[in-house]
Amino acid sequence: MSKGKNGWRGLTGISASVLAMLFAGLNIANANVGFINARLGTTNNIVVDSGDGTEDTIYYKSEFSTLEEMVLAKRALAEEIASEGTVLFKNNGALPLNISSESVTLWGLNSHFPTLGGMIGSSTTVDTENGQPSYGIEEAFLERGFNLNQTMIDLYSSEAVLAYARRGFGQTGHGLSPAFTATYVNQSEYPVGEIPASLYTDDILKSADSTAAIVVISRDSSEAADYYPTEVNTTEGDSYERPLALSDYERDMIALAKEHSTKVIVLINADNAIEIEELKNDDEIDAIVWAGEPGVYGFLGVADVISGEVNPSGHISDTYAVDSTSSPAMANFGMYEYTNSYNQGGNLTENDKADWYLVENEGIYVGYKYYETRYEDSVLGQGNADSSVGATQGNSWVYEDEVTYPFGYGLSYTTFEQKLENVNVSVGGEGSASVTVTNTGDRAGKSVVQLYVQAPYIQGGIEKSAIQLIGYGKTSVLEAGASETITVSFDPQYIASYDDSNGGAWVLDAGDYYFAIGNGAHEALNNILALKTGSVENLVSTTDDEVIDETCAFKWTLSAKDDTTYSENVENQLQFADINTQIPGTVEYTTRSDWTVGWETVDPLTPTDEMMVGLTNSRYELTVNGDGETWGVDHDLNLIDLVTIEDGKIVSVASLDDPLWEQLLEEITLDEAIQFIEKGGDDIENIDSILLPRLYENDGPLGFTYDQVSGYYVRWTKSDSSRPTYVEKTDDYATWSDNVMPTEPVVAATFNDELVVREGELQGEAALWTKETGVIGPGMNLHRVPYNARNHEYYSEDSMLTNLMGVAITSGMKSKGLQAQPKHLAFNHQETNRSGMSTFIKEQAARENELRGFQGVMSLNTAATVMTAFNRIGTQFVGASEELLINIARNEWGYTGAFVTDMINGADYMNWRDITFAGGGNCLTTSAYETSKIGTMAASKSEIAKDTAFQKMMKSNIKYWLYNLAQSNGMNGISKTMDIKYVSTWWQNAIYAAISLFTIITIIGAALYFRSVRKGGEEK
Amino acid sequence: MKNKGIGFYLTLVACVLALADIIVYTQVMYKMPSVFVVLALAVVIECVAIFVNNRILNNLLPVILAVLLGFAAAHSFYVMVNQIGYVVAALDTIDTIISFIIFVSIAVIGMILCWVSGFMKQEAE
Repeated sequence: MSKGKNGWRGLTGISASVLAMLFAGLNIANANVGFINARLGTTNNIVVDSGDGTEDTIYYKSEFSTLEEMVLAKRALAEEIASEGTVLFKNNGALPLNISSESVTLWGLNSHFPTLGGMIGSSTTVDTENGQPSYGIEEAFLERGFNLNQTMIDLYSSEAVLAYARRGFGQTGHGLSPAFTATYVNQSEYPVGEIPASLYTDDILKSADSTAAIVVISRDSSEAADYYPTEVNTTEGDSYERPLALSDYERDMIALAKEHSTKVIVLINADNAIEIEELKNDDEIDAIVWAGEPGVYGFLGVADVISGEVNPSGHISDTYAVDSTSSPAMANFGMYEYTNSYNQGGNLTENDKADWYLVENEGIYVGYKYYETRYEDSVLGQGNADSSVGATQGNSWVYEDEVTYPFGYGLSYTTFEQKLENVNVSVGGEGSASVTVTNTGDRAGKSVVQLYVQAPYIQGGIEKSAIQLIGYGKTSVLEAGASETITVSFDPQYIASYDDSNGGAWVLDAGDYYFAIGNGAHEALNNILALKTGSVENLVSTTDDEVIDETCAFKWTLSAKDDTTYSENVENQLQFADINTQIPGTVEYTTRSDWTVGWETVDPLTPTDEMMVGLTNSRYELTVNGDGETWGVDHDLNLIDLVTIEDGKIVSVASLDDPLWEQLLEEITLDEAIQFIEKGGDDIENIDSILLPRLYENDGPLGFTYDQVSGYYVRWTKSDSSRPTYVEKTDDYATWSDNVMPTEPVVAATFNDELVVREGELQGEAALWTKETGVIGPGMNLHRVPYNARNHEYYSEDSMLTNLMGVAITSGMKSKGLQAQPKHLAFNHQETNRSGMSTFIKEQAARENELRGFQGVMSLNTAATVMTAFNRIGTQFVGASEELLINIARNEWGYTGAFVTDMINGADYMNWRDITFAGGGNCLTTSAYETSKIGTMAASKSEIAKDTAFQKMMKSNIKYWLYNLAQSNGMNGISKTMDIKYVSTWWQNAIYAAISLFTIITIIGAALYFRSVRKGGEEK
Repeated sequence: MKNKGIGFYLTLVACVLALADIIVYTQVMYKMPSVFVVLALAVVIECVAIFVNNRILNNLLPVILAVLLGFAAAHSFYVMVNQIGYVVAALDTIDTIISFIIFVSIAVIGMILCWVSGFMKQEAE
């Protein structure tokens, strides 16, 4: 009998524990229902139509009839952007190559393993699979008909060199580098990945004789990583002074290439500005080409430039400094820890995520605004600009010793003459400049017109950059001898400087303003200085082709100071972010009144009591107040009812002050509202009460990133099969990757709005074919320093170029119904310790640099949503900064889009209470969010129900989301005669069935066990 | 501890594993308090069984412990799902989930011991 008893008990034990695991699994599955549904092609929300079904509900239609057409159009655009974004730094006539008569040797192991884009994170670019081609340098050049030296390719493909590769294992990947990992706290190694000269045998070297050398210099990019000047090169036997300087192996390789080639062309495959002064000055280097990280198809476009099929017209979007550490911003970049950090056992806690800070000591002088402003002051002999402080060579600061290629620089195979015809400025209105461009060379090509401005600087007054980009334009392809007049439009508000004295205002000082054109910021500034001083004496050029011409500058005089036109609703908001307002005397900011100050690394900070309030989070507690908001009332209203549709297109949405919005929001239940906010940062949660289906968003800046794994088809369900852009898994292109575009710096280097708008349109097209409503991109932070390994996701060191690029791409997205979600607002200037890091910055710098970058997309409302950053501004989380999200974004800029946080991993500094109350939006929560010490929103429902003020903010934030979703492709398939019905998916039913089965087994097992026990007892 | 069968000693081993798992769980990146509670409950019940020597409890011990350990193992995934995803997607390194893997492994081994124990005598004849 005992055997039988034990058997039933054993069975019961197994079935009961499986049952327990199933319950836990169901809980996990339901918490991740959106993710699972997206991957399995299932849905919980069936749309039921009570109409006759004849209504056209596809408000955003694709311009393509097949996925193949769309995919190929995207590829063609990627190639075009890469070719127009390729920058020619130097050329002694070696380029273009005549590929029908010249053979080419690709030098460098990194020519075999080039960087196509980001390594990990939101713009990961990997080799594609499932039949989709991916073009490294070799593949692209061969495709374009280059005659490549196969012996060298064989060397780089051989087992003998694999140990040196950055990629270590796998070896099929372009842009994958396992050694370069996401270590947040201590990054001290970076392998360049080149091979020693000894591996180039005589036979190999001989094979390169009589060929043109293209030497590839490559660096990686990645989310969650930074470079550091002090890093060690872990490529065996190799070393470098800094990771962004050439390594010994690279220098040795270049020496061999010079020795064994007819000409030497250096191809730079990196988005971080590296140090190439020695290459520029080397007469045996015939040409330098910057390709950046051009994505999956981009090297085809680069090959077209090398061969002369396309005449280069790109201009670099960062300053290439002689020494990559020479800007004042580098004084404070990296790891700075509060003295009371959790890490050191202080009174900050793990959940505070508050150990780290960053003081942006450079003020407004980021990138060229530093180098060019100091240059002007050195020319004019002011502000101790010639001092040795900050000079990287010699006893005094000399521009040509500091800058290799200035911001905006780029050459062509032809020559252009640009004539500044006129400049019109209307304060409070518009500005424009007319420039006639003539192709004075003998090849057809495009020319970029860059318009810069200099505002009058008053010694000791508001800090001002000596030069700043204000607008640009690009010609069509001009045949030799042809001319075209380009009108560059600009918004004069961006000329104003922010003055934080007297409460804060945007100021146009009285005085002379100079507008200028030029091949980059330096030439434009020289043109201004020539006009301003009446002399070219003392002016220096860093490039041989520079022409200083005072007629390329224009003086415009403002007779009286204007501090009102652009100051409506403006007052200081970010004074608390200046560390000197918290701890007086902490930092001396870089100033052009004395260039010898503002270079110090800030001493370890001990937060004040006031700072600790911010660092320990939770500014807002739920209280009992008001009579409560109305939820869950049936007004017979759905979101689609607020949309005006004409001729099958969405033409408008009820304005935000329309009372219908209040009624619509009352339809939503409190549970739905909580779910929408708390879980709506990844997928957009459905709100059945108002007929909002679950919608999908996806990273990232180069295309839908995570679909590289799963493809275009995954979000479609059979019920969508009538949609014109429905994709079956069996479609030839269904599993192709969408994240194929060139990185942001390459896009920026095109200086071509038309192309960038088109990029946005095609991303919108991709959204229609992959059933996405939002894209988490573009990246719009600034390149504060060259060492941020995530610079590839951001356009430039310059805020106006970022601003204009952002507007162009998001306009294109919006036109196709795709919700652009630029990121990361704001001050996400390094990846190291980004979570919770306190960024301290002067308000003028914040507004004129980083925020100006975002201002365009948010004031023109081409961005439907904006993702907030991981870091703090001062000690408060940026995603819960009322000053930033409401006072600046909404009240000053008129932003009507929504907000969403970056990923919340359980850190309480990113908490839903503060976020909601400060005007933030949805929370991009992960599973770890549940570990938050303050608890989840859902668990706090009863407290929320008593807090009317909080509920009002919830409604306000949801309203902005709905207002934008109503204009999006998310309305496709929805009509006013429809309703949503909840259904269980097959996988949920399977779990329920398994639970039922094991419940029965457990009950039977237990019953039989107890029966046998009792029977055994009776027998005894 | 008198008159205990081999099955009981297996649950005792499972209990020791549960105790060790509590310590391991403190090292896991994202933790749920309920997992600590469930594991502690398993340890307490085993101790009660040892000292109270209740026949019914002794006989149900394998089932109870299997349920608790199985639930702890499965439930602990709730807050670790995304972190596992990051590692799989190479967004983070494997060392961030090593403790979790060890934790789950111990819990599962404990549960399996209880399964085996369930088929064995809990008390000597």
